[in-house]
Amino acid sequence: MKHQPPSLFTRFLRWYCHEKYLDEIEGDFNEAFHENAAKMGLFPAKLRYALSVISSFRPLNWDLTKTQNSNVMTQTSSNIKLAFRNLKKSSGFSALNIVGLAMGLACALLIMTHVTQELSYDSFHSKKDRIYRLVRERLISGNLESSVGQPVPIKDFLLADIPDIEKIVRFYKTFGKVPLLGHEDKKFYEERLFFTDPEVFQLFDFEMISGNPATALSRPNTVVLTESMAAKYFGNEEALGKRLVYENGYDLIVTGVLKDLPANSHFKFDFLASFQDVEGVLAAAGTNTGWRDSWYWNPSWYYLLLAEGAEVASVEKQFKQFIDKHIEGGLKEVYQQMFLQRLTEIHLDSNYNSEIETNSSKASVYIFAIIGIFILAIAGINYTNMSISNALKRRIETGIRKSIGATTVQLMYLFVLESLIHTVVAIALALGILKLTIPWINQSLNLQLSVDLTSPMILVSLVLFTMLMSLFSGIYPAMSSIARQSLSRTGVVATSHRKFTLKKALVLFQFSISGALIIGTLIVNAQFNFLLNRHLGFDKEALVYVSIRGTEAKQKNPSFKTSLLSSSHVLNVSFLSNIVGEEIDNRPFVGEGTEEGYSIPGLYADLDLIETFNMKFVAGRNFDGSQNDRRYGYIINEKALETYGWQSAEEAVGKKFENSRRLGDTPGYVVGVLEDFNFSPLHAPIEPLVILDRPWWYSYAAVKIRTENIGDALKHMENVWHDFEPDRPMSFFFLDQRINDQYHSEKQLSSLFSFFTGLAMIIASIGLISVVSYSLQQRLKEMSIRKVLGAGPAHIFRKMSESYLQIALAAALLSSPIIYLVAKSWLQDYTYRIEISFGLFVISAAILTGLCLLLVSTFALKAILVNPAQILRNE
Amino acid sequence: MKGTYLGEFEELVMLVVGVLHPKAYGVAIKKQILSQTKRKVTLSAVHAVLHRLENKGYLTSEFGEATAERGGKRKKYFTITMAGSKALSMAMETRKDLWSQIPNVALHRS
Repeated sequence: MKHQPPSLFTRFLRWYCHEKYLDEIEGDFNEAFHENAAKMGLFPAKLRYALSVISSFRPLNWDLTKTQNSNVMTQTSSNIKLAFRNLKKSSGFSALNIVGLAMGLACALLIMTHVTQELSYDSFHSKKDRIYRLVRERLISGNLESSVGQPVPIKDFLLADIPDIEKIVRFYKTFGKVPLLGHEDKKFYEERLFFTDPEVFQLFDFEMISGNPATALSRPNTVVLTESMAAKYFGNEEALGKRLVYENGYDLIVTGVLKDLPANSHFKFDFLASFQDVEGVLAAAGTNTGWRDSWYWNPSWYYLLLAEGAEVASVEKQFKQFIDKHIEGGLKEVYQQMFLQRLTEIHLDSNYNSEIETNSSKASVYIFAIIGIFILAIAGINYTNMSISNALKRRIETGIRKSIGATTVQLMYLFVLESLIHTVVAIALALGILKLTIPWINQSLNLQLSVDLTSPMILVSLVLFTMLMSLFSGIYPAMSSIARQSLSRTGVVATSHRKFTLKKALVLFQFSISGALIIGTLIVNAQFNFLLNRHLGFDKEALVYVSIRGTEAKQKNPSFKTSLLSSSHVLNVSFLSNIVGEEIDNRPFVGEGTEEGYSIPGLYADLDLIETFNMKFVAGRNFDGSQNDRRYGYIINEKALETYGWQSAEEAVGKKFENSRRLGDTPGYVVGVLEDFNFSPLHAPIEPLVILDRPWWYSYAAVKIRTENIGDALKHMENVWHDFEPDRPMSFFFLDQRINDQYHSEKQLSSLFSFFTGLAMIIASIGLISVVSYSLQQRLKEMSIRKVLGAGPAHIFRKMSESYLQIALAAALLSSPIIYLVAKSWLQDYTYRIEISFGLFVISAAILTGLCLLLVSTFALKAILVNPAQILRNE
Repeated sequence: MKGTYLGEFEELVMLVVGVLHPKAYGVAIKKQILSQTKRKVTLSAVHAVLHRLENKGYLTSEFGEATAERGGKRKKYFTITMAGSKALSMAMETRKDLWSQIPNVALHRS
C-alpha cells in the first residue's frame, strides 16, 4: 500500500483503545482510509481517518487499566482520602481556618472589585483618549483657583479659533435650583437633568435603546432619558414622542431612551435635553441674563474632542492666543489660563471648583488596595500558621512515611494537595459569602459594586492565589518536617518554650496590622464627627431651605414672607441666593483704596439673614430694609478686611464699596462687618465674603422653624406655598442635613474603615485562637508537671499568656508610628482637623491587649483546670 | 421488558448484520446501511453499537482474515445470537401488533 494513514492519530488510537477492540477498529479505519484515498484523494481520506479516530474516543473503547493502575493515580487517590480524613479529624480548626481564609478572600475580592471599578471610570467611551475637559484658572480673592465651570457662549469662538478641536459638547444644569419636570399630572424635581449639545452621542458612548443618536438632540425642545426614568414617567407605554414639561412652561419631546448609565461614569444623568435653544431654556429656568455676552457667568461644563493626532500642548498654546484675542479688562482675572484634562483622569485626579460630582481620589484607592492586601495577608498567615501546627502534629506520620521511603517530593505533594483542597473550599465559600453580602454591603457602605465572577482578572487572581496558598502552606510544613530528625523526637514532652518562633512573628505582624487599622478607624471617625459637630459660626439647625427661583413665591416675596410668618411655627424667614455652608459664587467687588476689584464670594440676602442664621456683627449695622440700602449697602466679613487692606472693622464701616470691577460715580458703602463664619465646607479656610441685598438674585427662602412640631411647621409652609404656586410641589431641604451630606466621602471612608477593621480583627483573632490552642496542646504536659510541682493558677496563667500579651503590646507599639504618619498626611487636606491624640494609641493598645487576653485566657483556664494525672498518665 | 428493548439504530444494525451473514463487519455494515437506507453513519457509531449489542448478548463475534489494506489487522465478523434473534422478532411482533390495531382512518387511508 502506498499511502499510510496519519501516524499521529494511529498512535492516539492505539494509546486509548482497548486491546479487545483495537484490531477491529483500526482495521476498519484502515480499510475505509484506503478506499477513501482511492475515491476522493489523500487529504480528505486522512481527514476522515482523523475524525473517525477522534469520534471513537469514547469511554466504551477506553482501556482503563492503562491509567487506573498507574502509581500516580493510586497515590493521588490515597492522598485525597488522607486529606479528607485529616480535615475531618481536626474539623473544628479546619473549619475555623477555612472560614477565616474565606472571609479574607471575600474581602480582598470585594476590594479588588471596588478598586477595578474606581480605575475603570469613563473607560467605556471608545473615543476616551481624545476626549478632554476644559479647565480654567482664575484669580479669586487674590488666589489662583481652577474651575471646570465655563461660560455658555465661548463654544463657537473656541471651535472657530482652534481647528484642532473637532467637537465641543457643553453640559448645562439648571442654575441655582433643582428643576421641575412633569408629564400630565406626574411631577418630580429632577436633580440629574442636563442640557447638552447634539454631538454628545458622537463623543460619548451612551447606549441608546430607542431613538436615533445622530438626530436625537439636534432640534430644540427635545429630550433623551434613561430607561428607568422612562418607566417612572410613562410606565409601560412607549416613551418616544411623549411630552415632558420643564419648569411648568417649556416643552420637551422625548426623542430617545438610553440604557441606564454604568456606575463608572464620572457624571451621571437621568435626562439629556437639547441645548440648541439656550435662550428659551434659560428663560424657562428664570435665569436669563443676557448669556450671549456673559463671559463671566460659568454654569456649564465643556468636553472637547480633539482631532486625530492633535497634541494637548499645542491646543493649550492656542488657548493662550485665544485668551489674548478675546479677553480684555477685568475679565482677564478669571481667564488666567485654560488647560485640558483627560476624561479618564477626572474621577481619580480632579478636585476643581464646580465639579459635577464629588470625585474620588487615587489616595483612597491606594488605601483600600493596601487594606485589601493586608487583610488577605492576615488570612493567609492564619492559614500558614495552621499548616505549620498541622505539620508538627503529624511528625509521627511523616516520620513513618519517610522511614519507609517517601521522598521529599512525595511528602510535599501530600501537603500541597491538602492545602489545595482547603483553598478550593475556601474560595467556594468566599464566593458564596460575596454573593450573599454584596447587596447589604452596597447599601450600608453606599457603593455600587457588582462582582463579576467571570471577569478574567478575578479568575486569574483566584488561580494565582490558589497556587500561592498551596505552595506556601504546603512546602513549609513538608520542608520543616523533613528537616527534623523525624522519628527521634516523637515521644518527648514538647516544651516549645522556645524564643521567638516564625509563628509568633506572623502573629505579631497580624496584630500590628489590626492595631494600625484600629487607630486609622478611630482617627477617621473622630475627624468625621469633628466635621459634623463643629460650630460653623451660624446656626444651621431647624432651618428649612425652600427653592423659590422662577416662582410666584419669589415674584411676591414680601407677601410670601408675611404669610409664612403668620404661623407661630415659623420664627424667621430670609431670602437669599445661596446655600450657606455649601458654596457661594464669586463675584467682582471693588473697595475704597484698591484699583481693581477682586472676585470674592458674594451672597445676596435680605436683612433677616442675620437673625435667621444668628450671625454676629463686629461693627456697623444690619441692612435697614430701605431702598437706599438695597442699592448701596454692603456687609462684609472680617476676612474681607484683609483683602481690601483695612485695619479694623470700625475703619471699614462707611468705606466706599461696589459690586463691579471699578468704583463708579455713585458707589455704595460698607454698612457693617460680620464675624467670620464657615460658609463653605470645612475642607477649606474661611474666605472673604460680601453680603448685599438684590431681590432679583434670591433663589431660596431660609425658614427658621420651631423644633417642637416640625410636621405642623412644614404643613403650614406647604399650605402657604400652594397659595402662591398651586401647580408645583414645594421643594425644600433641611440645611443641617444638606451640610452634613457634604461629608459623605468622609462618612463612606469611616464606615469602610470600621467594616474592614472589624473583619481584620475577626480574622486575626481566628489566627490567634489557632496558635494559642495549638500551643496549649503542646504545653499541657509542661503545665501539668508545673502543677504537680506546686505551681498555682496565677503562675500557670502567666506562663500561658505572657508571651502573647507581649506580642499584643509590641504590635501596638509597632503600628503606631506608621499609622501616625499616614493619618497626619491624610489630615493635612483639612483646614479644620482634629489633633491626633496620644489617647487614641492607648485605646488601640488596650483593645489589642484586651482582645488578646480574652482569647488567651479561655485557653489558659483550660490549662489551669486540667487534671495533671490524666495528662501525664499517657506518658 | 427491560433489557430486550432495541433502539432504532440498534435494530437497524442487527438487521444488517443478518443480511450480511456471515460476513458482517464494520466497514461492510456501514456500506450496507448507506446503500439500503441512504443513511450516512460513521464507523465509530457502528462500532459503538456493535460492541453494545455484543455486551448485551445479542451479537457474537469472531476474528476473520487480515488483509494488506487493513494494515495487517483482522476483521471481526458479527453474527446474531439466539437472544438477539428473539429480541429482533419481538421488536417485529410488537410493531405488527401495533400496526394491526391502528384504524385505517388514523393513517389517512380511505
